[in-house]
This record gives sequence, C-alpha cells and structure tokens, in this order.
Amino acid sequence: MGTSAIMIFLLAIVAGVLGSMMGLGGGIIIVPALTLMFGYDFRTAVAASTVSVIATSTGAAVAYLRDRLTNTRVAMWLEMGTASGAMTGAVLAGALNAKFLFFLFSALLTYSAYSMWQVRKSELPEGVQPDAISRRLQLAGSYYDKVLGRTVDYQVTRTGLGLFLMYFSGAAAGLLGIGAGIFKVLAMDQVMKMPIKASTATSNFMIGVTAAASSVVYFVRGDVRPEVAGPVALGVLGGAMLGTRIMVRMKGTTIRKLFIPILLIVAVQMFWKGLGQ
Amino acid sequence: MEMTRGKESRVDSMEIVLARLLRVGSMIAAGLMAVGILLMVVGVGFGGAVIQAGLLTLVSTPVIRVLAAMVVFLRERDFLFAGFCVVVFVSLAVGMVIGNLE
Repeated sequence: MGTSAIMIFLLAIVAGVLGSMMGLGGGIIIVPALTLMFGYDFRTAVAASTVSVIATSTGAAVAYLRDRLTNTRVAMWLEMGTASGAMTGAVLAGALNAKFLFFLFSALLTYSAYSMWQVRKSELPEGVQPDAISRRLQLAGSYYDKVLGRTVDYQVTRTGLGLFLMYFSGAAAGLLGIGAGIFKVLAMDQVMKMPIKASTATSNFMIGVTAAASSVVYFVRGDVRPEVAGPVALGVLGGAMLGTRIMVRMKGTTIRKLFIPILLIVAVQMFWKGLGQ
Repeated sequence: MEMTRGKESRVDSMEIVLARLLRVGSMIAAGLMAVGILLMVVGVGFGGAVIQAGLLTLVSTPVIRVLAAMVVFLRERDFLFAGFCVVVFVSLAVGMVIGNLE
C-alpha cells in the first residue's frame, strides 16, 4: 500500500479508458501488469481483473445507455448465449481439449483481424437486411453520432449465428481465460453487421454480467484481495467513465483500427498458450 | 406512426431505468472503495472490509441489472424478452453453483 497502490491505480485508469472504448474488459492489460510489473500471483491478478471487467462495464454503461449507443435488446438476446455457454463451460471444464481450442480461437481471431482490415475504411455498414428473428425481436437500433452529426439508424442480421457464437465462446471463455469482450464485439460487428460503436457499447454493457458470475467463485476462494482489487476496480471505474467521453467523439474507423492490433495480440497469445499445453 | 412512437418510449424507459440503477450501484461501490483505501492507507484495521463491501456492491450491480430489465419487460408486457432475462439469470445462478462446487 503506498507507491505501488498509486501505480496500480493509474494503470487501472488507462485500462478502464481503453476497455470502455473498445468494449473489452481490459484483462489483457491488468493481468500481465499485476503479475509481471508488481509480482502478484496469477490467481490474485485474474480475480482483480475479473472484478475490473465489471467496473469497466458498469462505469461505461451509464453513458452509453444515455447516448443510446447500447442496444439493450441485442444485449439480452446475446446474453442468453454467453450465460448458458459459461454454464456449459463450467460443467465441461475437464472434458474440453484445451490445445485444440487455443489453436482454433487463435485462427478465428487472426481471420477476424483480416476481415476487419478489409472493411477498415467503412464508417457504417450499408444495405443490411434484417433476418426473420431480428424483425420478430425488433432488434433494429438508432443513435445520434456526435462525429457524423446525425442520427444513425441500423438493422441487425444473422442473429442466430451471433447467438451460437456467443454460446460457443462463452463455453470456452473460462478455459481460455479470455472472452470478456473480444468475441462479443466481433459477433455484433462482423457477423450481425451492427455499427462498430453500437457493437463496442453493447459489448461493454454485456461483459459485466458474465464476469459477475465468475467473480463470485474468486470471492469464495479468497482470491479477491481488497488491497489489490480495490485500487484496480476504482481506477478502472474512473477510467471507463472517461473512456466513454472519448469514444463518442471518435470515428468508427478509428475504433476499428485500434481493434485490429488487439485481435492480433490476443491471437498470438492464444497460439503461444496452445503450444504450451 | 403510433406504433413507432410507442416503441421509442418503451426503449427510452428501459435505458433510463438501467442507467440510473448502474449509476447508483457504481457510485456506492466507488464511495466504499475510496473510503476503504483511505482507511487502509491511514492504517485503520477494517479498511480492507470496507473495500470488500464496495467490491461486492460492484459485483452484484450487473446481476441486479438483469432482474431490473426483467421487471421493465414484464411491465411492458414483453413476455418474450422477460423470458430471455430469466434464462440469463438461471444460467448465471447454475454456473455460480457449479463453479463453487469445484
């Protein structure tokens, strides 16, 4: 408690800003920072990171809901996939082939980085035709884009595939140690063809729920150490509130360009972990 | 026209209710964590417990959010989406129980 707490706090603010802008939990920053820079053990770091996912989600959601960037109906639909997937993952934990999954997800992320690169110049998706489920569930959304200076109306498509992806990544998330937001953003942006800003904001809204379920386990085990998780969560909460202000003033294409290197970093991480299995 | 307007106000109320809930949750959590950290720095024994209370408030906020959304959907007689919330909540509860058994 002292200098290191202040350092952790500042780092958490950065993680919160980035996480809230990209729709991610910020685990890719928090876990390596706590273990490599501050020498905490992996379990303490993962527990603090999981709590910080909730801080990112809650801190950012207030602003994104007000700005109408969060599509709550899409969120509820996809949360069914992540939550039931996480439940399946907990049951199947021992039965899944970790090496295969690491390689599979690494390939999936690499491919996603490539397909995001291809559409790097498109600000908004065009000509999206809603599918039957999307129409039935009234998933179409609209928000006011501060950068474009106009209201953006959008349709949502391939809702079934999106739900399947959420279930699948939710089931694998616990094992792979990722999945806070990266697959949610990909499912909405790349599969369901939502605007990137609505995708990251909606992902942000969703990540808190699954993280809340898994963090209970860390609390029970005693992995949540208040002197670590406290400054992390507080910093991330503040950072997330700040991040929302930056994000609404950014172009969709800029968010996309920041997202591509993140995809590649995580893809390499997954590949590396797969080799070590 | 009439239908579109009805839908707009419905979406609005959902977003306002959830935003308010999440704000209250994060403010209480932030307050407790900040006070707890200060107490810890000063060397007061129960600082850690105050932080822990803040962390628990933070963690329960999204779960309460699922229930709040369900109530709003029920009030709007949108039973399908209320059902979705039930599926999410039950999955979370079962996942939590299984996670703690191991």
